[in-house]
Amino acid sequence: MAKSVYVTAFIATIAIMLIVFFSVSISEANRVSEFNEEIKQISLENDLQSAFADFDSNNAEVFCLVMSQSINNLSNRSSSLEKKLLAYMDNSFNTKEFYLAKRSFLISNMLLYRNFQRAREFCDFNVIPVLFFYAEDSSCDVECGLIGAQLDSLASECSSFRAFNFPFNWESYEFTKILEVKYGVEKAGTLVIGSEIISHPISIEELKTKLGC
Amino acid sequence: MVDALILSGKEKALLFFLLALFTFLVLLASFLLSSIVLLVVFNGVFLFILLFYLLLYLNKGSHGVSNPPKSFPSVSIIIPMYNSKGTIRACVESVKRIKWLGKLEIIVVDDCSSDGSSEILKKIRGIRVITHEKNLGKAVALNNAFKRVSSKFVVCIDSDSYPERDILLKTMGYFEDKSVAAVTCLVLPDKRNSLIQKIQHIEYLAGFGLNNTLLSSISSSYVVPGPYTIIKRSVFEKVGYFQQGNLAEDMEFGLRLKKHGLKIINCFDAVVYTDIPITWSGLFRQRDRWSRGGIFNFIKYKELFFNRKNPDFGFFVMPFLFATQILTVAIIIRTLCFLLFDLFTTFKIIFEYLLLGGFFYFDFSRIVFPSSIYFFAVTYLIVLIYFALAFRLTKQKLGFRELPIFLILIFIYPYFITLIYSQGYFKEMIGVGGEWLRVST
Repeated sequence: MAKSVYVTAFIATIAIMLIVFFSVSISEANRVSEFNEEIKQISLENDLQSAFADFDSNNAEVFCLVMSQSINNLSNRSSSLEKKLLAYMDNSFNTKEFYLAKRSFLISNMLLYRNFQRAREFCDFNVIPVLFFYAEDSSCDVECGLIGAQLDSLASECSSFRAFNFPFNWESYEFTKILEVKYGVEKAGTLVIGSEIISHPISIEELKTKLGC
Repeated sequence: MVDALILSGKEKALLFFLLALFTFLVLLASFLLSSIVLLVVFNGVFLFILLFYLLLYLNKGSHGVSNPPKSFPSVSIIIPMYNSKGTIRACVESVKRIKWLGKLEIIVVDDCSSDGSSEILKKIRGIRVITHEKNLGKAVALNNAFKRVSSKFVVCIDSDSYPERDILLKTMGYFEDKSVAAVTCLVLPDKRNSLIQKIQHIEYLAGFGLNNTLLSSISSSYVVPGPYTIIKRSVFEKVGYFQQGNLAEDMEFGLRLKKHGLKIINCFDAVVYTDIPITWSGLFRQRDRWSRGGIFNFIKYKELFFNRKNPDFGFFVMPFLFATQILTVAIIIRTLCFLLFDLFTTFKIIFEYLLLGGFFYFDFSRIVFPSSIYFFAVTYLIVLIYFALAFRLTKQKLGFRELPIFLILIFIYPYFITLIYSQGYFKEMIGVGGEWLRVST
């Protein structure tokens, strides 16, 4: 009697695990597709802003009008998406799909950063774009954790800056190399504020001053 | 005063090797697989065990129901006692009320009590008292009585336990099967007023009620609980008596019966009530003894692992029980290692944060449900069904007021028990002796 019970229990366990696994996979796939849709929307708006910047660079009136209407909203959406994407990525099985979504997001974030720079250049736009390079592995847990916490806490009380986070020197996101080379970033835990490179944690007061808080 | 037995050098080395091996495997898996996959695998093993028991429940038929005897042989009831002033009178009174048509004698072994319980005994009529000049422990107390009786069956009852009147009538019939060496019953807490008692009540229903019955249905019951066990006296000639100094002598004897191919039957219809720890520290001490005794006995009876004579016990019950216990301890070690590393990092961040100024900020929007939670939800649902079946089997009332206790039992209590098991492994590995004073729980 018992032998058949072992077999039945084993089959039932596998069956239940598979049913749950497929349900979870479907739910994760839906979530990734929602993220991808949102990334696509943000990318399109980024592209639109870039197009205005390219064609309207002489007097920049139309570009600035478009930027003033949409950039804050776009920035908030992008910021919220980033948090959700990273949180779900750490807690899902289907990490490959999430990696691809993150890749798309980072590309879109690079464009958004570029548009922030252009807006500061051509328009009356005071928000400081800040680049923060973190490590995907645990090599920068202390410094990156500290800088990340400082930026998060300042962002909650100060709207004079917008942090753009990028992984430093990571194979899956090789395109971020272009930013690292452009700004001469040599290690994770580096902040780029305007033309200033800060490669070590600084005091919160100093950071506040630099970010205009 | 009896010192507890400790493992030999080789056995300690074996235990250390097993724990190191499991910890290494867990750490290796942690680096090779994501923590979410690891959790699902561990959950899968647990789910398999649960489903196995549920299927056994469906297949068990009438196993464990009361089994009235065809004859009424002589029975000796033995109550080992040590400092049981508060319980011994009620215990003996309840034993005297037991219904039996054959010859019934009650023997109380006073293991050198010093709290006045000996004086109480003197006032109780109709019992035989054996007095020890020195405190020798529960096993010796029982053995001394076993050697002095001539009845065909002996019943062991802890001095803080109170059997129901029909307990013998319900359990004795199982001895018609010649391979049955001992019969146990449903052990329930005498009182269930406080949270700790309510938790133990459900735990006892599931453990002594459902789990023991299912185990006995596949001839894999391996404990003869102190509150009530009836043993065929001829068994002692074959397997010997209780082992002195063993922290879980009831389990050791049960495993010895298994080694000799003898059966222990659990009758869930028969009930004995027992005093249970009423404080967390008391519960810790009791479970420390149970866990250490369990580890000690599993190592001592390692030949029962993968033993073909007891296939269900040897290939499923014992390996799974031991592996899940040792795996849990290995996971605790792994978690502590990771936690220490995280704490180190966190403290460094806090230190630098304090140095550089600022305030802490936690973004709640980053909290999401991990996908593994769905797997655990299914498993916990089956755990709830398992507990509900334990209530059903033992004919206990189940209502919504039990739900908070269930939740504590499922989500919080296991951490307490795991903590006890973990420290138990280290105590056994380094050979902390300890004393085994009390003859009751």
